[in-house]
Amino acid sequence: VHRLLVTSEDADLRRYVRITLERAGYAVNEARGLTDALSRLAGTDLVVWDLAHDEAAEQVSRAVANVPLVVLASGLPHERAAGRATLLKPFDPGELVELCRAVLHQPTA
Amino acid sequence: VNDDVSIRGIRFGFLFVVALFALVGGFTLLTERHTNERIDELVRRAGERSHLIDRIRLDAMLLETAVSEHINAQTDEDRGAADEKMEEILSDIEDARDSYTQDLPPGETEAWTRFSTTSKALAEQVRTAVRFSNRRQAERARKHLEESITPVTEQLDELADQLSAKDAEETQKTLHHREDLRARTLELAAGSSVLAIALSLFVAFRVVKLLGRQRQTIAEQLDELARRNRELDAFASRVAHDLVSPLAPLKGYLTLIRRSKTVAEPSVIEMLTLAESSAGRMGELVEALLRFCRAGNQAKADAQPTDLEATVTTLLLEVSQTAAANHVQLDRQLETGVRVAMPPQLLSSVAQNLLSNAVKYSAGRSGAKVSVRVFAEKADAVLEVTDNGMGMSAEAQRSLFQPFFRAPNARALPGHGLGLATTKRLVEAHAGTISFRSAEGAGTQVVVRLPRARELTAAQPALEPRLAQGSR
Repeated sequence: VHRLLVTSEDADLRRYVRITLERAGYAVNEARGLTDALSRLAGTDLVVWDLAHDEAAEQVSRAVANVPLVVLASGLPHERAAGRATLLKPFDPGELVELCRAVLHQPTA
Repeated sequence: VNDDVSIRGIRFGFLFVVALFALVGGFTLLTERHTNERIDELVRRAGERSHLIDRIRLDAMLLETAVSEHINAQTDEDRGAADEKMEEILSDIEDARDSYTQDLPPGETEAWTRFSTTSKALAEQVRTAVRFSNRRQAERARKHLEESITPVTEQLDELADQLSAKDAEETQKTLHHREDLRARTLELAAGSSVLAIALSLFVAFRVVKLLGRQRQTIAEQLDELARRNRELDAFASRVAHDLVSPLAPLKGYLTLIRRSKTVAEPSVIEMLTLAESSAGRMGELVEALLRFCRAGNQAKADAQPTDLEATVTTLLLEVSQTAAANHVQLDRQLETGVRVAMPPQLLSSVAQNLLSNAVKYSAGRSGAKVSVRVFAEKADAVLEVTDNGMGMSAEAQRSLFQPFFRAPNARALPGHGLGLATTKRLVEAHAGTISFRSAEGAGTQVVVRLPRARELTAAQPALEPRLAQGSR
């Protein structure tokens, strides 16, 4: 069973993501922010990161280093960074599960 | 206020300079003309006087001859003829003398008085000689002619010379006076020109300074505008983030409930659908708000040019289904090779807004038709969308571009009132314009003009613009 870590400042969103992913059969942990997330990173197969309004995807990507990453963002469709696994909120729960599955199964560099 | 005062001052300065030039020019011309007239008159009179003096001189010589003839005359008849001739000459001298005295300059009277006295003395002496001649005292008369008349004639000649010289001197003086006057006028003109130039320079300096200050003000205002746009953008991002975060679980849970298939009661399923629809609308509204705020951002200088015809063709494919479902005919007249400096997704959202509005507001009317035209006009790329739909009242037209405005006759139709406001901001942020014409019940035409992209690199040679026409 893959171990996933959901990071968000928003408790409601954290819980929603956890419930959605647990229903898909993953083991899910929660973190409240960057420091919290980094302390729980060991043994994590995938991080689902809800970007705070002052966070950039690049910054988060550097912080989690080689742990695969799915980013939850707010913005306009055409503003999404190319080549990064990003979901724009609000998203369909099915889409989230599929994206996580795809990232987990892609060959890592 | 300060600038207003400066502008008024500058205007006054210019008027003053122009008035000064006009005044100096007018004065110079007038003085010159007046002086010339005076000089002409003086020269003419001097010529006349010189002529009169010559006449008197000649008369004096003729008088000598006539006196001789009188003395030598043998008969009373000859003597009478000589008498007559002498009287004639004497009266001529008197006439000339009178003419000369008219218009005589005041300073010249002394010389003239002597000349006049001498000519009167000559007449006296001639009459004395004639008296001797009449009394047959020829020898005495001849002697009188030699001793009295000839010297007086010579004196008269000499005085005439003096008078002529004096006249010439007078004329010379007048001419000098004219030169002096001209020099003075020139000095005055030069002086006032220097003053005018100095004033002009001062005014120009003030204008340049004022323009500089205004340019600075404009630059500051543009900076302020850019800063506010950035603020609005930051605010919008924050709002979008904060609104979307609770919306994500809301929509997500509704989806999960629906997919759990634990709800069987039809009325509950209907409520679920309504809740999903409301959540969906809220998502759209947040996105529209974000689009509106972001639309004001300055265009990127390195934006790749986008083909207008290709963008519109793609959109028409998307819209055609909705149009067909609503029995709206789509006409197109698209010129190829018209490119604008705007990212594809933004250009697409502009065209999409116009097209979907046209279809939305003409749907359901009999013979509903939407015409799309793309063409190049001078430096502009033009997108023109015309419908024969419901149109707008004059009052609605005034508020058309205001965010969240919805025309009263369109409120029953879906929409949030941000589409056209966003389109306007987008178009204007890319140095374009948007305009429209509308009549209630007859339809609406919206025209977007964007500057055409310069480029066309070597790999993409400029295509001969060709009209792709057709309708569907």
